[in-house]
Amino acid sequence: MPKSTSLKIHNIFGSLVRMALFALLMSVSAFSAPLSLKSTPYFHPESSANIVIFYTTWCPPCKRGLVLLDEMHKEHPRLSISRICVDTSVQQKRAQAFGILQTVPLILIADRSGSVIKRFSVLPDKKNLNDLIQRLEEGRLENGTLPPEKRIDSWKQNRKGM
Amino acid sequence: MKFLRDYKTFLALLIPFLAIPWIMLGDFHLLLFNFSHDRLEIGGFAIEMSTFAMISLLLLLGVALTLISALSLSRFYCGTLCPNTFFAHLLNLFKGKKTSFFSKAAGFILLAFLASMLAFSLVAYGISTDELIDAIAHLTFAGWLVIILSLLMIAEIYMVQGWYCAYLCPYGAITAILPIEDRLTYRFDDPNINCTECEGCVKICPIPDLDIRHGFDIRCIQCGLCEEACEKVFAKCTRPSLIHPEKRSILRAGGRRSMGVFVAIIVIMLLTTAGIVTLLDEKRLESCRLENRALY
Repeated sequence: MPKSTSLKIHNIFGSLVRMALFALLMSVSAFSAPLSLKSTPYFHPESSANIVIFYTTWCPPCKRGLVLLDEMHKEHPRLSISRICVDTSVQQKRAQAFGILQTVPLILIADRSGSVIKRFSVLPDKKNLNDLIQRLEEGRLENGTLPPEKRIDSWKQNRKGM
Repeated sequence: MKFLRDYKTFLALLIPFLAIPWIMLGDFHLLLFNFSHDRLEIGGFAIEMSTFAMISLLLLLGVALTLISALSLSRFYCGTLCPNTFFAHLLNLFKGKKTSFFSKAAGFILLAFLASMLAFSLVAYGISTDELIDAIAHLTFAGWLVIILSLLMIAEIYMVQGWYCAYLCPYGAITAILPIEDRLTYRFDDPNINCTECEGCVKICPIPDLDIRHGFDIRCIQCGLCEEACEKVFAKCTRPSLIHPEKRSILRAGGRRSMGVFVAIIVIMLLTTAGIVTLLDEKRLESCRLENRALY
C-alpha cells in the first residue's frame, strides 16, 4: 500500500513530547547556518554570482530552465552556472543535501561569498531572475539594499558638521 | 422496491459515481485528479499537472457544469439528482408518529452510511482510494476531510435541509436569478374544492414558509414530498389527490426552449474547452515530480 504523502496531523499534535521535539526541530532549522556552496565544486570565487541548477533530461520545465539560464549567461557573462543532472537515483541521493526531495528543477543562487541567498524549487520568472542577478552584480544584497559596511550613516554625517 | 423504482434516475447516476474512483485501467485510474502525485488521470492515461492548475480545472468544470445544468435542467436537478432530496425521501420512510425507536435508529444508520460513502467517493476523486483508506486510518488531511464532509452532510440532512436549499445552496441561487420563465414544477389543482385543509403539504415542505397551494414559488426544489403527503391523505377516499408534477420532457425542465439559453450553453462550453486546453498546456508546468518520470 503506498504511503500517503500529505502532512499527518497526529505526527505533529500526537503528544507533548512530539510537539516539543517538533518545536526544537523548527527552532534549530530557523537558526541553523545557511546553505553554502563554498566547499563544493560549484563555487567560483571570481564570478559575480554562482548559480546551480539540478535538472533531469525528461522534465519539460528543466529544459526551459536550462534555456533560461543560457540566456542569463549571455546577458551576464561574469556569471558561473553549474548544471547538474539528477536522472539516476544515486545522483538524486547526492543532491538531497542541496534540497532535491520530490521535484525538479531546483535552482540555487549564491552570492560572491558562496552562501545561497535564493532557492527556486519552481521555474523562476525571467524578469525576477534578471533583476536578482543585476543586484548581485552591483554588489547589493538580495533585496536591493547595500551591505552594512557600504551603507552611509546619515546620522553620523550630520553630527560631523556640528 | 417502489422507492427504488421512483429513484432510478438518481441511482443510475449514484452507482457510477461511487464506482468510478475504484476503476483502474492499467497503471492509472479511469478518472482521478491525483493531488498527492500531481497528475490528472483520465481513461488509463495521465498528464502531469501542477496543484494550482488542477484546482483551477476543478473550479472551471464545476462552474461550467453548474451553469449548464441550471440553464437546461434547472430545478429538475434539485428534485431528482441532488442527494439532499434523495435523503429527505429516504428519511420520510423512517418517519412518522407510529414508527418505533428502532426503525428511526435504522434509518439514521442507513443514512449515515450512505452519507459517508458519498463523502468518501467525493474525496476519492482527488486522491486514489487505497491512499484515502490509509489517510482515514492515519487521520491525515484527506481522512479528516472525509469525516468532516460526512458529518456535515448528516447534520445538514437532519437539521437544515430545506433552509439550505432555499438560502445557502449556490445552485439554487443561480437558478433563482436566471431569467427563465415557465419552469417545470408541481401544481396544486383543485377545481372541485376537494382540499381538506389538512395542511399536510405545507407541514412536510422542507422549504420554510412555502405553500404550494398559492402557486409557483421560485424556491420550490421539486422534491415531491407534498405530492406524497397529499396522496397519503386522499388514499383513504376515491377522489384523486390534488398535487401533481407537470408532465414535460426533462430537456425542457428549464422552461420554454429559447435561442438565448441555447446560445448561452454553447458559449459556456466553448469557453470551458478553451480554459481546459490552456490549463493542460505543458508550458504551464513549473516543476516535475521525480516519481512522474514514466509519464514522459
